Amino acid sequence: MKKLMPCLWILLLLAALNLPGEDLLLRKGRFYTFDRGILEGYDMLILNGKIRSIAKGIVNPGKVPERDLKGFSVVPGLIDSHNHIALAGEINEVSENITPEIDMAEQINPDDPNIYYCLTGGVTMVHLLHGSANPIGGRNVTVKLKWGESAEAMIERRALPTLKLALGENPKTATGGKSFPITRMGVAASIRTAFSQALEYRKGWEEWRREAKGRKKAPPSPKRNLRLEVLLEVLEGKRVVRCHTYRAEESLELMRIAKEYGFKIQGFEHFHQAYRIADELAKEKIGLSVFADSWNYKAEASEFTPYGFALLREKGVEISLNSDLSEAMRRLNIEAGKMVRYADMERMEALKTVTLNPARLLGTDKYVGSLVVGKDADLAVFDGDPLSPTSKCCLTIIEGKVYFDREEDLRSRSVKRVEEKEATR
Amino acid sequence: MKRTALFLSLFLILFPLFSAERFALKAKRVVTVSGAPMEGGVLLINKGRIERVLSYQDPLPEGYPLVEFKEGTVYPGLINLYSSLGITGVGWGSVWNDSKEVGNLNPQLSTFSAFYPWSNLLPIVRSFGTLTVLVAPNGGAVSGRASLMKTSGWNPDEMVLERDAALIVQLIDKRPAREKETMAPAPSKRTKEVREFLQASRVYSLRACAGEKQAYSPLYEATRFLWEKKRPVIFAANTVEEIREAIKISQEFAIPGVLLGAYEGEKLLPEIRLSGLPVILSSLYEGNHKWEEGYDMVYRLPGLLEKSEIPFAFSFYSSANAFDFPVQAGRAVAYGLSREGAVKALTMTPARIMGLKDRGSIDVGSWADLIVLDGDLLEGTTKVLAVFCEGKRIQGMDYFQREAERASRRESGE
Amino acid sequence: MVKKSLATLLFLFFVLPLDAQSYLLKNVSIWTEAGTLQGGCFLLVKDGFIDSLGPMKALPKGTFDGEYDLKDHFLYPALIDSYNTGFQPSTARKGAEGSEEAPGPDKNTRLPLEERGFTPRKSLTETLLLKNEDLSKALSRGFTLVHVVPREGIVGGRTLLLSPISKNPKVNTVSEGPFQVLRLEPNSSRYPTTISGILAQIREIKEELLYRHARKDLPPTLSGRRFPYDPELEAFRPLLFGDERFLLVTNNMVQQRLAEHIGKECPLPPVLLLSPDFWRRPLPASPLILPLLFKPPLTSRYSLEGEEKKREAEERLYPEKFSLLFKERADIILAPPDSGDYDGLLKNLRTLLKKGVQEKRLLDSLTVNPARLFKVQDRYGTLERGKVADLIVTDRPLLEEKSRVTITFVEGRPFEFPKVEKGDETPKVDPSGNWSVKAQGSLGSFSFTMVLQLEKGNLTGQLFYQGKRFDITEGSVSGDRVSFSARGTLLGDQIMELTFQGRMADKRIEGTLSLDEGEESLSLVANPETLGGEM
Repeated sequence: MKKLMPCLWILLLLAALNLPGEDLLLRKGRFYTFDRGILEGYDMLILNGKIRSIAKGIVNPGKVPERDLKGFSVVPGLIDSHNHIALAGEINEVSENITPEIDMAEQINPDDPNIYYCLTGGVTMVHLLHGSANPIGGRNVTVKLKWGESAEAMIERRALPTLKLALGENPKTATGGKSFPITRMGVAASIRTAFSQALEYRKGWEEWRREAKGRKKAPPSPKRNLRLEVLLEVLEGKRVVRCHTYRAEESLELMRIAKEYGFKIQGFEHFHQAYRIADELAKEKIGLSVFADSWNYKAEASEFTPYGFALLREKGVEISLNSDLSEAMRRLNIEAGKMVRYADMERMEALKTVTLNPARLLGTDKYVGSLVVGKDADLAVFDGDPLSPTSKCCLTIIEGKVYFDREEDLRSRSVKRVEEKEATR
Repeated sequence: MKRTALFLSLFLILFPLFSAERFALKAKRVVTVSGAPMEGGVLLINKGRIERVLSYQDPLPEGYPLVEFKEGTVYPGLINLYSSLGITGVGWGSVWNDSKEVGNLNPQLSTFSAFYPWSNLLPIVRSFGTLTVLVAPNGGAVSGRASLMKTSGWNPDEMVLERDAALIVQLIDKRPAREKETMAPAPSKRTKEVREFLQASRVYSLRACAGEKQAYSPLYEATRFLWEKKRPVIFAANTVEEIREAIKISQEFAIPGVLLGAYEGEKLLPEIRLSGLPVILSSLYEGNHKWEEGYDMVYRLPGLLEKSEIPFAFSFYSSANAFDFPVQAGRAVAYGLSREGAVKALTMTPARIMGLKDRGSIDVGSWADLIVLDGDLLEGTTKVLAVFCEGKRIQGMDYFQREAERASRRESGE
Repeated sequence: MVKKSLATLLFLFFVLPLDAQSYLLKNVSIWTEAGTLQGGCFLLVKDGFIDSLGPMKALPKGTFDGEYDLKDHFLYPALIDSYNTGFQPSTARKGAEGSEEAPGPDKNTRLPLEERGFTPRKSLTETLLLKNEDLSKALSRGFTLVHVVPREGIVGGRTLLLSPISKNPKVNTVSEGPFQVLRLEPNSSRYPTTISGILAQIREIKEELLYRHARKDLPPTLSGRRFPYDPELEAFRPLLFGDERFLLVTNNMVQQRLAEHIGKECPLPPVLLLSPDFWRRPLPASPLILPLLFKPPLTSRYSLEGEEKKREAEERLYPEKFSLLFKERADIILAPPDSGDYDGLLKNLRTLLKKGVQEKRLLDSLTVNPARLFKVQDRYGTLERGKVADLIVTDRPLLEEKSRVTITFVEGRPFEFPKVEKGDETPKVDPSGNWSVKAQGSLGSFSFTMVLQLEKGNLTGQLFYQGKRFDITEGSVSGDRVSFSARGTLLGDQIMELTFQGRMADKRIEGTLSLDEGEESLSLVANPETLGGEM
C-alpha cells in the first residue's frame, strides 16, 4: 500500500527503531517484581536499554553509570492505556460518522508539556486515542514518553494496532445532534453498516481478482477505499477495537456485532456499568480501561459502583486503570491503590492494574509492564510505598535513560529562582 | 456476595446497639488531632457527645455496651469547607446543577435554600468519612451565602449547623492563561466592585442596628449577618494581586477573612501569616498553570503553609468524587506536609475556621462525629469500617454498596 | 502607519504603457555574482533590460533619457518576496469553507471539494487587492517581484508572481500559478477537521483520479459520460501525477512532519514553507522557503517552557540554527518574518550576518534562489546583460545598519524614494472629537459623522454612515496631516475599505476620501460637532 520511501526516510526510521538504549546500574533498591515478590536491597543492571539482571551485589561490568536507590521503591513504568495528550489539533474528525482513515500517529506533538508532567507521575507509556465523537473514529497510537525526542522515536511500533469506536452519548450528540445517528440504535446500526460495506468492498476486489486471473488485458481494478481497508484490517484480525462505552446494553450489542462479523474487542473504555455484565466480559476476554472511581460527570456515568471491581475481579476480567485527563495521569499509582479498597485486591495485584494489565491490553506485555530480565528497562522510582499518595515519583526511566529526575527538576528551578531574586533586588 | 454477608452479620450483631444512647467505642488506635494519637483507646459516648476518653488499661464503666474495632483507627469526622454537595448532581451544565447563578452580586442566595440531601451522592460522601460540609455557591463577584451542614439527617432543617455560615466572594477575574506572565498592577474591576459592595453593606447594617430609616435592600439585608454575627468572608483568590486585595479588604473592613485557593500563596507567605487569614485550599487535583512554576506547584503549597504556621484546610468541591478528599491530602504529604498536619487540615482546622469548637477533634465534650478506618486516613487503600454522626451509627448501605450487591445477585430491583 | 512617499504620487500619475526609455547609472558599486561589491562601475538600462554594465572606463557614449550619478551608492539586483499573503481581501475567519451561518454539518453527506476548502482552480487575479500603500511599500524596500499566496482554505488556489508596479493585475502578473498552495490547517466543521484528515483527503483524491484514469478509454455508458466531470478534482491530476507542484505551508513541527508524508504522495517534491522549528527534523532535499523569524512557534516547547527559555531561544538558539543551515545549503530561499514585514527581514538578515553567514548566501536567498524556484532565472535574479532591469540603489551596502533604498528600477523604470523628513512625524494637531463630514464626488455628495480619538500617538475611532459603522484601523497624525483607513460592512456582508487623508487647520479638516473599489477620491470638509482635546 505505501509507496517506496526515499532513502532519507528509511534512514530516519532505522535510526528511530535502533535508538541505542542506555546503560545504568541501580543499587540497593526495593524492586516490585510480580514473579519474585518485593526484592529488598537488590541491584538492577540495565544494558542497552534492557533489564539484564536483578540480583544482589551486581558487579559493574565497566563504566556503567550507577545510581544509589537506597530507600526507594522501583516499580515497572506505569502505563496509561487511554489518554489524549501529545496530540496536535483536533482529535475528533467531527464532520463524518465513520472515519477510520484518520490516524493519531500523524498528529503526535512531541512538544506537549503534558508529556513531561506524565513522567513526573511515573508514567512511561501512553495509548493515545482518537476522540469519542464518532461511532467509528480513527486509528490510535501507543507512545513511550521520551520527552525531548522526535515523534517517530516515541512511537511504540511493537504495540497492537487499534481502532477507536465510541458508543453512547458522545457520538449521539456530537455536532449538535442533528444528523443521523442521534440514538443508540443509530450508532449501533451505523457500525454494522460500515462493517458490511467493508465486506462488500472486499467481495468486489475478490471478484475482480478472479476475473483478471489469466486474462491478458485485465479489466480496471475497483477503486481503492482507504477507509474501508482499515475496517478490513479489523475484520481480518490485524487490528483490534477499543470501544468507548458507559452502558451495559450498548456494549452487549457491540459484542454481538463483533461476534457476527468476527473481530476482536480488545478493551472497553470508561465502562462504568461493566460490573453488570462481568460474566459476559470474562467469557469474551475483553479487557477494561477505566477510572477507579471518577463518575457522575454526565448522565450515562451516573450509574456506577467502584465495588463492582470486586465482582469483575472475581469473574476474571482484567482491569486496567487509565486517566483520560492530563492531571489524573500524574497520580495513576494512587488510583491503583484504590483497587485494594474497592476490589479487595492484594497490593501487587493492584499494582498490575497500571503496569502489566495495560501492557497486555496494548499488546506490549512481552516488552514492558513488569520487572523481568529481558524486558525494556522502563521504570518508575518512588520514595515510599508506590501505591500510597504519601510517596512521590522521583525518577522515571525509559529504556535505561532517565527522562525525569526530581532532583534535576528542583535544581533547575532553584537556579531560576535565585536569578529572579537577584533581578528583583 | 462476601460484602453482603459481611454487612448482614454486622447488622445482626450490632442491632441492639443502634438504638442505644450510650456506648463505649473501643479501637486499636484513636487519633484525637487535638493531642497525640492514642494507641488503644476507648471512647465513652453519651447523648451524642464524647463523655470520657479512656485507655485500654482503664476499667470500663457499667451501662456502656462495647462496640469494638480490633483493627480500627478512630478519627474525627472530616470537614470539607468548600463543597457543592446538595446543590449539584449529575453532569456539569445540566438541570442538576444549582451552584452558579446569573449575575454579579448575589448575597441574597443561600445554599441552604437549595440543599438536596436525598440524592445518591450524600450517603456516599458520608460513608467515606465527610461529616460536615460548607456548601458554597460560585459565580459572579459575590456568589452568595454558604451554609454549614451535617451529612446526616433526613431533611435540611435537621442537617443545618449554621444557615449563614460565610459569604463567598470571588476575586478571581478570569481563568489563568498559559502565556501570561505579568499581573495587572492596578486592582481589578472585581475588587472594586466587592469593596463598594461591602462598604455599602456595612453602612446599611449600622443604620439598621441604630434603628434609622432607610430603603430596604435585599442584598444588604442578606449580608447583615457578616457585621452582626461576625461571620467570615471567604475570598477566592489565586494570584498575588488577588490575595493581597483579599487581605487588604479584610483588614479595612475588620472582617474575619478566609482565603480560598491561594494558588500563588507561596510567594506571599509572610504576608498571609501576618494577616492572620486562614487558607482553604482548592482541590489538589489541579496541575500547575505555567511550566516555570514547577510541576508540583499545587502539591507543595500545604507543606509551605504548615512551615509558615498559617492555618489551612483542604477542600474538595466536586460532590460526586468527594471520596478523594482525604486522598489528596495524602498527596500533599509526599511533597512536604507532615502527616499530622494533613489530618489536622481535614478535621480540626476547618472546624475552628468555621467557629466550631465541638467538632473536628476527639475531646471530652465534643460531638461524637467519628469515623473508624481499617488503616491510615490518608491512604487510598483504606476502608471505612463505621461512621458515627453525633453518636449515632450510620447503618444501611449507600448507593455504591447497593449497586454492587444487586449486580452480584444479577437481579434488578432491590 | 500610513506613510506618505513620493512613490505613491508617482503611482497615481505614472503613465503605464511601456515606453522605450534608457537610463545610465554611473560611478556606482555593483553587486557581482561572486558576492562582492565592485566599485566605480556603470550600468545601462535600455528598453527595460540591462543593456550593458562594466567599469567606468568602458562607459558607452551617447545620449540617454536619464543619467544618474550614483557616487557612494550601491547597486543590487532587486529582491524577490517569496511569500506574501497580502494583496487579498480577508474574510472574517480563516478556512474558506462557507459562510458562518451554515448549520452544523450533516454527518452523512459530504459536500463537494470546493465547499470544504479545496479550491485548486481559484485564481488570485480575480480577487487581487492592489492598494497604493502595499505596492509602494514593496517597491520602497527594493522588492520588485512578489509571490502572492492565497491566504485561506486548505488547497487555496494557485499562487501568483507579480510585479508591484500598477493597479492593473493584468499588467502586474509575471507568472501565473507557479504553485498550488496547501495549508495544513483543517476546517472547523467540514471534512477534514483533523490534521490527519488532510492527508487522508489527498490520498482519497489520488485514488479517485487513478480510478478514473484507468477507465478513461472505456466507452461511455448508455446514459452519457461515465463520470460527471469534476473540474476541482481534475485540477489535482497534474499535482499528484504530473509536473505541477504544491507549496506546503507549515507553521510548526507537527505540520512539518505531515508535510513530509504528503510530499511522498506527489511525484515532484513539493516546495516547503517551514517554521523556525525546521531544524528539529531532518530536512528533505526539496526547495525550502523560510520566513526569517527567530520566534519559536506557539506550540513549540521553547514557547511553552517559560519566558526565559523563549527569550534565550529567540536571541541565541534560532539565529544559530539558521546560520548553520546557511552554512550547509546554498539553495535556501528566505521570506519576510511576517507577510510584508520587510524591515523585520532586513533586521534579521543583519543578525545572521553578524553570526558569520556569508553575505552572498544571504543575498542569493532573496535573488538568485527564488528566481530559480519561480523558473524566471533567465530574466531575474542577477545583474547581467540581457536580464530584466529590476535593480535597487541603496545609500549603503544593503546589509549594513540604516541602509535605505533610494531608487528602485522595475523593468527599467525608476521609482525614487527620497528621505522623509523626521520633523513631519510628530503630531501637531489633535483631531479628537466628533465630526460631521460632507463629502463630494462624481456620484454626488453625502454626509456622515465620525468620532476620532488621538491617544499616545494612536489615532482610533469610528465612522458612521446610514447607521453602518466603520472602524478605523490604521490611523495616524503627522504634522497637520490626518490620515486613516477605515473598514466596515455595507450592503449586507460586503466589506469595504476607505482611505482618508486630510489636513487639519482652524478646527476644520479638508481632505480626500477614497474607496477601495475605485480610483475615485471624494473631497471632503469636516466640521466639529464637539471638539475635544487641545494641542
